[in-house]
Amino acid sequence: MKLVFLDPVGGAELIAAAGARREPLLPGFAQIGGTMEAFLLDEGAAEVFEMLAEEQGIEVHFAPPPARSLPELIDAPWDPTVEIELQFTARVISAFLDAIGTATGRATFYNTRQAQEAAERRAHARAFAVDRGLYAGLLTLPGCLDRARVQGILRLLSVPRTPSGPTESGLFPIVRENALIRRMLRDLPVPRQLRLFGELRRRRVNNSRTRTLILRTILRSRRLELWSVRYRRKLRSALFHAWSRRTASILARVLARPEEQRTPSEAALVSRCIHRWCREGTTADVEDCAAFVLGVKRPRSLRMLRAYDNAKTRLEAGRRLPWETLEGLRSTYHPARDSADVLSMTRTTLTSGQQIRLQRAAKAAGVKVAFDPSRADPVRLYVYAFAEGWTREIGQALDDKAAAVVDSLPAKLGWIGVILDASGSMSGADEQALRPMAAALAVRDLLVAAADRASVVVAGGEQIKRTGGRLIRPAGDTALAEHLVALLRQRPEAIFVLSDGYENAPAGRFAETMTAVRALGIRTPVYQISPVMAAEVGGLRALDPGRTPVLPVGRPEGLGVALLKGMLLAEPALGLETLMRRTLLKERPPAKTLASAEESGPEEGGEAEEEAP
Amino acid sequence: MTLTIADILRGCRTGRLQTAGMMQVIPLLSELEDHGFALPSALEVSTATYGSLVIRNPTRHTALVPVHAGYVVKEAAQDHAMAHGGLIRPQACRKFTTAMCIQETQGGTISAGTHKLIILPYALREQAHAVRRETDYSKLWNALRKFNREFGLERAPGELVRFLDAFAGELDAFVAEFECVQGQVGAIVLVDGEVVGVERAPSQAFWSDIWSALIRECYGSWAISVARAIENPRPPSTRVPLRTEGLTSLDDLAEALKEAREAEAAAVKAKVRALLADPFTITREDDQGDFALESLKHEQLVGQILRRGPRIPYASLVVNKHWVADRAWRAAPAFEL
Repeated sequence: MKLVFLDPVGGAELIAAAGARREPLLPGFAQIGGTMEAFLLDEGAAEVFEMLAEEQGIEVHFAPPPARSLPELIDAPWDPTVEIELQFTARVISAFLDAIGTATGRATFYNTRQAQEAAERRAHARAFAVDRGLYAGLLTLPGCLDRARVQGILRLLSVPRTPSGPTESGLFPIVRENALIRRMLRDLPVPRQLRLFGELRRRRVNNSRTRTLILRTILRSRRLELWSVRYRRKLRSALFHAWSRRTASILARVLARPEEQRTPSEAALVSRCIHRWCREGTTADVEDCAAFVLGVKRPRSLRMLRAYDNAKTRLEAGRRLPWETLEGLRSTYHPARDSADVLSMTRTTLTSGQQIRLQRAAKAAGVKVAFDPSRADPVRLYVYAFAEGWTREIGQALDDKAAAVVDSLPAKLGWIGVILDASGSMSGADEQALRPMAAALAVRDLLVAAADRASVVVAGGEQIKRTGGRLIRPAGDTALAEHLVALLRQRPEAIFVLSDGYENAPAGRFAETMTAVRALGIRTPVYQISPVMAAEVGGLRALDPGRTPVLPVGRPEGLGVALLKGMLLAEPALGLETLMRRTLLKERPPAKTLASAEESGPEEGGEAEEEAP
Repeated sequence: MTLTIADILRGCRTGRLQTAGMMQVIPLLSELEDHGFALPSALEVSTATYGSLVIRNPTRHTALVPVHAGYVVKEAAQDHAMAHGGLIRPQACRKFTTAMCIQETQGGTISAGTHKLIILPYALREQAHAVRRETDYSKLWNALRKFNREFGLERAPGELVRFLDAFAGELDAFVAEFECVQGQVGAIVLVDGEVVGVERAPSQAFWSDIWSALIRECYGSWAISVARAIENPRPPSTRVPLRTEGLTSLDDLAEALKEAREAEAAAVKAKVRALLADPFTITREDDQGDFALESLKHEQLVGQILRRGPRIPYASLVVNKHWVADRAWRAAPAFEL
C-alpha cells in the first residue's frame, strides 16, 4: 500500500482514473490543513496515479501527514499510527538514500534516462516532504553523489521556507540550512557549481539566499583568476543572474574606467556588488576578474588574464592557461595550429580527469601526458584501467584510497564474505559503460580493507590476466545462490553481495536459498550492495525482497551511509534517530571524501562524476 | 534432402538455462563462427515507397537482414518491417518490395540512415511469413489490429508502435533479466515451459547485435501476452523450485541447489529434444553468390535459414500458433481403462 496526499483540486479525478479506492486511512489522516487529502492506494494504482499526476503537472506529496514533526514522531510512545508513520518514513528515507547514492541520471543497462530521472525526482520530493532539514542533512553525508547535491540545493533554494508548512523542520533554523547548502556546494566540483547556478537562472530562482550564495561562492573564491579564464561564460551568466542584467551592464561601464574617475554613486555600486563579498585585501584582483568576465577591455593586472588576451595573437603566450581554454583560443584564433601543440604546452597543468580523458589523444599526438592515479577517484580509476590497462601504480592508488575511507565507516567489519556479481548486466549501459562494475570493484576493495578477514568469490565475469584478480570484465549470467552457500560454509560473520539485483539463473533462486538458509537456523547477516538505481522499483533492485537489505553504494565512501540504511530498515525509529543525529544535531567537519582529495589539484573541487549531459 | 533442427544447430552446445518470469532462454554456444557478414546495425535503411524497404550495405561483407527485421523510427515516417530475411552484396543497395507497413495511420517515408532494429513480435511472425511474397504494404494491418486488441489496446489501428509504447517498461525488463554469455551464437526460447523459437546467428558479434531485438520485441511480447492470460501469476512448469524439505545442513542445501539446477535443465531439454528429429520441408527463396536463403516448415516450426555451402550460419524459426493452441490436446494422456 502507498499513502498518497494531494491537492483535492484535480486530484480526485486522477484517483478515479487510476481506479483506486478513496477512503481515509486512519481517523485524522483524511484531511490535512484543509488542503490535502489522504488516499489509500494499492501499489499498481499508485504507479498509474503517479504517472497521470506527472503528466498533468499536479503536485503530489508522498509522505506521512505532518501532524507530527520527525523528532516528535521518533519520541512518540508506540501506537499503530506511530508505527505506520515510522515505517512509511523509513521507506521514504531509504528510497532517498538509494537515489542519492546511486542515481546518476543516465540510462542503465535496464532503464532509460527518462525513467531514471522520474524515479529520482520522486525520491527527492518524498524525502523533502518528510523533513527538509533531514533532507538537507542527508545530502551532506559522504557518498552522496554530486548530482543529488545539485538536485537538493535546487530544491532547497526553490521552495521557500514557511513557518509551519509540511516541509518545515522544527529543529532546523534557516542559518543551519544555509550552512548545509554552502557545505554541499563546497563539496561540488566547480563545473557542477556553475552548472547549478545556470540551472537556478533557467528556473528563475532569484531570492536573496540564492543571490548571496552565488556572489559569495564566486567573489570569495581563492581561484577566481583561474575560474575566470576557464569558465568565463558560465561565470558571466551566474553574475548576471545574481546582480541582474541591468546592474551588471552598469557595473561593466563603471569597471571600464580607472577607480579614481568613478563618481561616489559608482563607487558605492562597486562596493555593494563586489567589495562587500571579497576576502580582505583582494578587492583589486576581484575587480580585475569581474571586469574580465564581463568583457570589459582594460589593462589586466593578473597574469592569467593577461595570458588569455595575449594568446589571441601568440598561442605560446597562453601556456599558463588551462588546456581547454587554450584549445578554445587555438581553434578560434589559430586554426592552422595543431591541437597537439596545445596539449604539449599544457600537459603539466591537466586535471586528473583530463589526464584520463586525453591519454589516447596524447598518445596519438606523441605527447607524453603524466597520469597520477592518486588524484583520481577509485571508480574512475577502474574505468580507466578497463580502457587503458592495469598498472602497479593504479593498484597501489586503489589500495591507498580504500584504506583512507575505512576510517569514515561507522563500524569496523570483522570476518566477512563478499560475493561479487560480475555478470553481463554489471557492464551498464553504453553511456556509462562499465561504471557499475567499476563501482562494485571499488566497494569490494573497501570491504576487504575494512575487514579483519575477507573471503571474496566472483560470480561470472572474466578475470583479466596480470591484475591479480583485481580487474574483472563483466560477462555471463547471474547465478549467486551457490556462491552464497559456499561462503556460508566458511562461517563468516556477515556476507555482502555486490550485485545490481538482476538474477536469471534462475530468477528468484537467491531468495529461495535465503529462505532455506534461515530455515536452517543460520542467522549470518546478509546484505546486498547495489551500485545501480533501478527506475522500475524506484530504488534498488532486491535479490531477496523484504528480507535481505539492499544498500546503495555508487562510490566507496558511501558505504557508511549504506550501513546506516541497513539500520533504518531493521529498526526504523533507531535508524531515523541515528540519521538525524549524524546529519542535523551534530556539527561535523567537512566530509572527507575521495573526491575532496582531488581539491589540491589544479581544478578546485576535483572532477564531476559522470552524469547525463 | 532433409533437414532437422539437429542439423541446423550443428556445432552448438547449450549453456546454462536462464529463467525470469514466464520466459526461459537456453543459450546456444559455439566456436563455429562465420565472420563474413555485416552486422545488422551497420546497414542503412530507408523506404522508397510504401511497402518498399531500401537497405544499403556499406560494408565489405555480405549483409544478412534478419528475418522479420523492423524499423520503428522517431521521424514522421511510416514504420516498416521485412516479411522475410534478406541478402545484400557487399557495398550494394537492395530494394525489398515485399516489405510491410507496420504503422497504419502514419504517412511519410523513412529517410536513409542507421535505424534501431526490432524483430516483429512472435505473435505476428507466422502471419508475416505466410504473406512474405505478396507486394501489398498493408498486408499485416489486420494482424496488427488483432495483436493490439489482444493487449487491451482496443481502438489502436494496425500500428506496432502503439504496443511498443504501451508496454515499453515490461519489454525493457526482458532485456534487463536475460544476459548474453560468452561464446553465445543463438538461443532456444521457451515461454510458459514450451519452446517458442530457435535462433542462430553467424557469430557472437552478430548475435549480440540482434539479441536485444529478439528478447525484447519478439519473444518478450509473447511472454507478456501469456502472463496476461494467466489469472494467478505462476512460474513456468519447467522452472523447478528449490527443495526445502529434509534440509538439515548447508551440504544438503548445496545438494538441493544442484538437484534443482539439473532438474530444470533436464525438463527444458526434454522439451527441446522433441524438436530435434522432425524433418523440414524446404523452399529456396533467394540466392546471392554462395549464399542461399531458404524457408523451412514442419508441423511445429516455421521460419528461414541461411546456407553457405555446407554451413548453416543463420536460422530464425518460430513455433506455429496451431501447435501452441493444440498443446494441451497433444499432452493429454491417451485414454485407457
